[in-house]
Amino acid sequence: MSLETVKQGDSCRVIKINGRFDFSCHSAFREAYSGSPTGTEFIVDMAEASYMDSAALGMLLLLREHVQQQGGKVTITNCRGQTYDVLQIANFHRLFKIVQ
Amino acid sequence: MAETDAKHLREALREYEAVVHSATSMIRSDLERARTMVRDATARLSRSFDALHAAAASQRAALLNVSTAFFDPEHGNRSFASSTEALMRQFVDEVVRVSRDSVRIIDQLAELSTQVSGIVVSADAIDGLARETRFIAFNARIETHRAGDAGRTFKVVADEVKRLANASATLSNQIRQNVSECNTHLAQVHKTSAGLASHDLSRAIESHRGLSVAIGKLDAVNQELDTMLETVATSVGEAVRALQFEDMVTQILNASVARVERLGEYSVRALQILERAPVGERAAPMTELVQEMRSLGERIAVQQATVDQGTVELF
Repeated sequence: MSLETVKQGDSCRVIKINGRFDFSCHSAFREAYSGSPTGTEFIVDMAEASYMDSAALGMLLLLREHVQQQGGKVTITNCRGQTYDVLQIANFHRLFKIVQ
Repeated sequence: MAETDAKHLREALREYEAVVHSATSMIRSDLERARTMVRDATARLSRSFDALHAAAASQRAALLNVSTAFFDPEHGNRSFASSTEALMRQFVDEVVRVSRDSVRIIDQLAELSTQVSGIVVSADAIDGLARETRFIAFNARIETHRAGDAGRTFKVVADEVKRLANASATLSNQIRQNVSECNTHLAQVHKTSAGLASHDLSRAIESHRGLSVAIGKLDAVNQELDTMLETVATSVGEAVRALQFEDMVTQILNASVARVERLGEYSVRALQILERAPVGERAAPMTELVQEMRSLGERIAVQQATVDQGTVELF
């Protein structure tokens, strides 16, 4: 796995997931959003993600909580295959804006 | 000669009449048997179709019960398909909730770890203080030597200060050791929580997919059976309607009996003309009789029973 955060302007951060999105991403993922300014918009880009497990779902939920406290929003983009199925079975469509 | 011939003719005509009579009653009896056979066969067929109809209806009812248990939305969570689906959702929700809380615990462990590192810094500071204190005690001891007897009391104080400095160093070591043990436990909790957080959801996805496929297949079977049972019902209805031929056959047989009886009557009348009318006056009544007999050659009109009489209420 690897994780890359790209800032787009002052109020948008793109978190790009490469390979397996699991517990090994935990510290990097937390770092990607902690200390972000109020109202930051997050885009979690799954284009290069090949797999995700329940730990990844847990991390996404904590990001959502962070955003709810700080204001802002989260969008999950480019989901396909296994990652899309996992988000689907966990009913994340009710909680996040998900773009295939 | 003519009398003998007339006598023979009379005998022949009587015999002819007897044969015609016997043949017509034989034909009547045969037709009656045929009518009975048709009636019995029709009754049996009718009963068979009724039984088939009833069996198809109860089969459909049984299948409806099964499909209701699987699909009926009115049964809500009690239906097999929806309760399995709900259970699976609940399971996945629970797994995700545990994962989120485990990740949260790990985040809090990171905070805790930072705090614990602070304790180590404090222990290092205590060590520094102990070193300085020990140095002061050492210096004080040198001074008491110089002071001789006057410094004897102060030497006790210097020794006590040294003892306290050593005690501080021991304490800070103890703290460092405790922190080290604490870190070991934190690492263990971290590992356990990471394990709790990480679950592969592939099997849940497969099961969910399998359930959807099973529901789809059952639905298809259900629809197929519906169509099939409707076809059976229609066919039974057609068959029951077709059994109305009994009525038509009975009409034809009745008409045949009447025709045979009339043929017998005409024969008797022809014999009477031949026997009683004087020679030379037979042609006219015989021609008249033949004219009358022509109606025997007409086709019998059969009334077809109305469709309503043959309609069977299916299901």
